Amino acid sequence: MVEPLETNTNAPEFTLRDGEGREVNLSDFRGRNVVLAFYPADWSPGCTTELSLMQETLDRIHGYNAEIIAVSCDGPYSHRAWAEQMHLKFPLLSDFWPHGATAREYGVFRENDGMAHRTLFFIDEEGVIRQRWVAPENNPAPGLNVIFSALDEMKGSRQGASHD
Amino acid sequence: MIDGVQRTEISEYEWILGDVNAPVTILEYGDFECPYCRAARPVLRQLVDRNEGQVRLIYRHFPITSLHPHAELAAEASEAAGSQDLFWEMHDMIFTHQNALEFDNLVSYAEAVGADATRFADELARHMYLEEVRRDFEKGIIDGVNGTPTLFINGVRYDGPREYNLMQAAIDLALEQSGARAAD
Repeated sequence: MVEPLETNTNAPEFTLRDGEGREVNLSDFRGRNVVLAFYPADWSPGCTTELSLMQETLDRIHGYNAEIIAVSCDGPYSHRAWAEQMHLKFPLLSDFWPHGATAREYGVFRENDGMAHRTLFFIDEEGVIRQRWVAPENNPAPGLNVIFSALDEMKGSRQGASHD
Repeated sequence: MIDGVQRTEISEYEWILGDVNAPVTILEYGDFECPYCRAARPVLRQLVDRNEGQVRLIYRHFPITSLHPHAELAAEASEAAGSQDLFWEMHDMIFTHQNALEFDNLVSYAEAVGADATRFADELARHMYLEEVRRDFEKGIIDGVNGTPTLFINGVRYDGPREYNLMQAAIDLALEQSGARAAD
């Protein structure tokens, strides 16, 4: 049973390596919106997976001053090969060692199988978690409408005076 | 956050397989170069055939071009054939020949299904139906495509295995809920 962090909390800082071995800090993205996508594993069956759909709409996502950061507990070499196969051009970060430490901080580490539960956190330009989507039990990928509704809402509330 | 619910309306301009008035609609968002869409094809066809008059299949395009570079042109080709009332024939032809989807291949398939190949080739070269394909893509985003194929059964996304018995069970449920009698 995972207990993902609630909305309206500060997104915990992390430093994780991408598939090329480069260090990436969440704070590098301050000033931009972040779609932080935890997912269970590279090499999942199905060609057009969650990450492919994000890649396909990446320009659109960038249009919201947003970036995608994907995190799983796979090692960096797996990420490198997976990103290459799937033509992914956003960071895949490795929460491999200490195993699942970042996933734990976000409340999405699955103790029973050592993977991150499929969860999306939508983090605003000031580093606050504004929305989240948690995969239900059958573990489907999120519909693309989830991402764009969240980004629309984050954009809307910055421009207007609306409150949650 | 609400997910898995179809939001767009079914219009009068859809590609429909089966009885247009069937009480259960399977809406499919597909990518012609995706092997999973290809694999789903016989299952979906069986569901329409065996639930005669009760189930209709609607196809909309969702090409993932970052992975499948031929998918968008193939989608356009199906629309071009569709303008000559040969959509489903071309749809089947494309899925059967998934590894050969260059322009010339698509023209040969159009010819094979009985289209006016000259008109077809001209329209495809001019990308006459590209906007149609892209409009379907936008609808897919609104509806919440989460992979290909994405399937909605009477407006509810079906995320289970694309396996006949499981899908028939989902259809039986939809038939009950729609007040129609389930197929035997």
